[in-house]
Amino acid sequence: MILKQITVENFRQFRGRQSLVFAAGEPGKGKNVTVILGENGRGKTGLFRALMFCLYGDCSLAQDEDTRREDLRLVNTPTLVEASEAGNPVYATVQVEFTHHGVHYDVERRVKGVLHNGDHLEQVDKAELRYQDKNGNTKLVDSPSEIERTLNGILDRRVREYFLFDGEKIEHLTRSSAAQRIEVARGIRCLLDIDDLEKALAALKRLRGFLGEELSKVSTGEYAQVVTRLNELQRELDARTARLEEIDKELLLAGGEKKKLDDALAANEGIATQVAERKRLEDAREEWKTQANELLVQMRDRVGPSAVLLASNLVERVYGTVEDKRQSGEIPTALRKDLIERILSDEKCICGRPVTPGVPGAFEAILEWKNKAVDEHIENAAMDLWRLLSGLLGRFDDIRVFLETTIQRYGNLRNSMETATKSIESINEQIGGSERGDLLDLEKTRQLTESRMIERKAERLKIEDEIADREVERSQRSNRREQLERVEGQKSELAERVELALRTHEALDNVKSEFTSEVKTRLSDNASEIFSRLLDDEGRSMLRRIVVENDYSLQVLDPWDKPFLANISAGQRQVASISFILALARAAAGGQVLEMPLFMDTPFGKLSWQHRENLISQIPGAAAQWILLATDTELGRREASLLSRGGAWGKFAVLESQPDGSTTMREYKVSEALALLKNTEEDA
Amino acid sequence: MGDIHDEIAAKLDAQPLNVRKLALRALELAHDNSETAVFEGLKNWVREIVKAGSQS
Repeated sequence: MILKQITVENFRQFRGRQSLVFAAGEPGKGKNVTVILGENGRGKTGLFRALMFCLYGDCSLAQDEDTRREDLRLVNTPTLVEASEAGNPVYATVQVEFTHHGVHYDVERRVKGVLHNGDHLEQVDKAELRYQDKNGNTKLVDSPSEIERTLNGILDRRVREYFLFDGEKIEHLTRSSAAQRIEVARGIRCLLDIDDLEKALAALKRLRGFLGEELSKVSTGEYAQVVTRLNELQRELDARTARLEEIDKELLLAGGEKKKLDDALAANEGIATQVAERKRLEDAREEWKTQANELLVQMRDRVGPSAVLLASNLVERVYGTVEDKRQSGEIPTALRKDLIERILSDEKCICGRPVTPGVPGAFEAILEWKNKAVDEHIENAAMDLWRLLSGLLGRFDDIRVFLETTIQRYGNLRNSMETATKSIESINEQIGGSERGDLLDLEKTRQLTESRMIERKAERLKIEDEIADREVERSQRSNRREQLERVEGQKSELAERVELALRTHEALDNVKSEFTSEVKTRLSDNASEIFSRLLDDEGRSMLRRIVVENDYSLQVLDPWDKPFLANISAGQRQVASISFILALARAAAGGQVLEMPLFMDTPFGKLSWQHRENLISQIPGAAAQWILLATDTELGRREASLLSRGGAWGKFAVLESQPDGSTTMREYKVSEALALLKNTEEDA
Repeated sequence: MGDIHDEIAAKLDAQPLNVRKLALRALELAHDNSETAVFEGLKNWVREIVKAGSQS
């Protein structure tokens, strides 16, 4: 979507019909930056509101959450008052023209306003979308649901706030609630076309189930039983996998709910310290639990090698016996035989005594030694055993040390967890003992939420076990089915179809896991790279990387890879959010610049000069179109000079106040901007 | 966005021909059809693929 023009008529502050053309050149080559300057209250947000109303039918914005809809007026009030004297209604109209993938779109929405017994009443009375189809014919769409479907296909409403936003509030991307994150994650999947992949997978799953049932109906005997059970197992696995996804969502939502309740409780001075301490203990306990689980996994992996410790006494005894024989030269026989042969041929012992027939004692003793034959195989086995035991004995100590230290560490973690649990229970009692009813209600709700989370986690573990059992059975039954098919001599065509649907679903499912994980890595890498270019020097020294979490929320890491989001400034949050948006746009466009505008209301309010400088030099080449609604305190001569030097600034308009309180959009040449702008604080 | 489809298709390269055919058909249908329409389309497609495989 590239915005071409907006026209407003009697909408909010804008009296009469007024239009504004946006710069829409190619990024990096043409002019794609538009600046709309206006003092506070002159209609910058009114223009943003007009855009959201026209494209999505939004009568209110996120910032209006504390305002009742009937108190929000879209129709220009002075015009309505004048018209009502003659008993006439007033129509507030917004028209937006844009192009998308070469197609020109024209959207128009209208609100009818009347004054009735002094009440200002409004109703949306028209919505139209016109576009040119592939054959050049103009199509008119006037069904609100069809308009919504078409516009969502261009810029999904769930991610619209990623491209059309209030600069100062965009930092909410790093603060959004769990429920918002789920919704936004869906939008991002749509933007990245992952939803097509999910739809294909859902259809393949259905196909696999349908064909499995068909095969079961036409089969007989044991084959029918095996196929029927395989179908059942698949249904059970699907149901359990779906339940796991639900549980994850429930846990995410409950976690968000718990955090909100904690924030509400912490707002009360009397218990703020306890609430903070409980949070610290809970986080630590969770971390210890993770560490303890990791130790359990390590111990489980070493169970095999450790089992040999049970036989350590026996191993040491056997080793000792074999070693004695080796030391005394009884084994290996080959060595002993060589020695005896040499003594007998030299007729002299290694100690110098003569060993010849007739010399009493020594000769007979050597012969007897030679005749003490040891079976060669037994002897080889004994030598192998000696070598094995020799290696094993060396590892006994390693295994012992590993087990002792791991059990010790595991025990310490368990103790710390138990101590934390007791302290948490004690804090729960203190907060629960409060005499204030509102705090008690909050605390009770918090405990219920936590109990629900514990139940869900237990259910999760149970389901994971059930899935593992069923997967084992499925593998066994599949093997049996294949055996039966071999006995039959050939596989039916229907069985081939079942097999193909199954394999295709598996293959595409693996592709999805691989692809989504790569997308997240790519988003993290791109966002981090953009972040480091947009940050000021102070930020660069403190912040190392942006990480996109599994739910597509953001985390910022410090130079030691520790989460640091909670400690960064509002300006840095804003820069992190913008970096993520640009990375997302790049990912959605396969590494190119996505055809989407960045429409930013109050873009620089919270940003340092260096942040502004970086944004001004980077965004025109990274976004397809940049539209800035700024005050003269955030966009002064210094910013304008920089923007001008970049060569991408194409349009400049000022929202000018009229004597009747309305606003006029007046377009100026970009070259006139410097004369109209003030020095910003940093210059002064 | 087409590039992302190409990326997914490339990940299926190591799969047997029939699996790749069916998966790509499913993705193609999913781009502008409902899940039910994709399912109905695949019912015929899977039959065709298996039939062609047994004849070759």
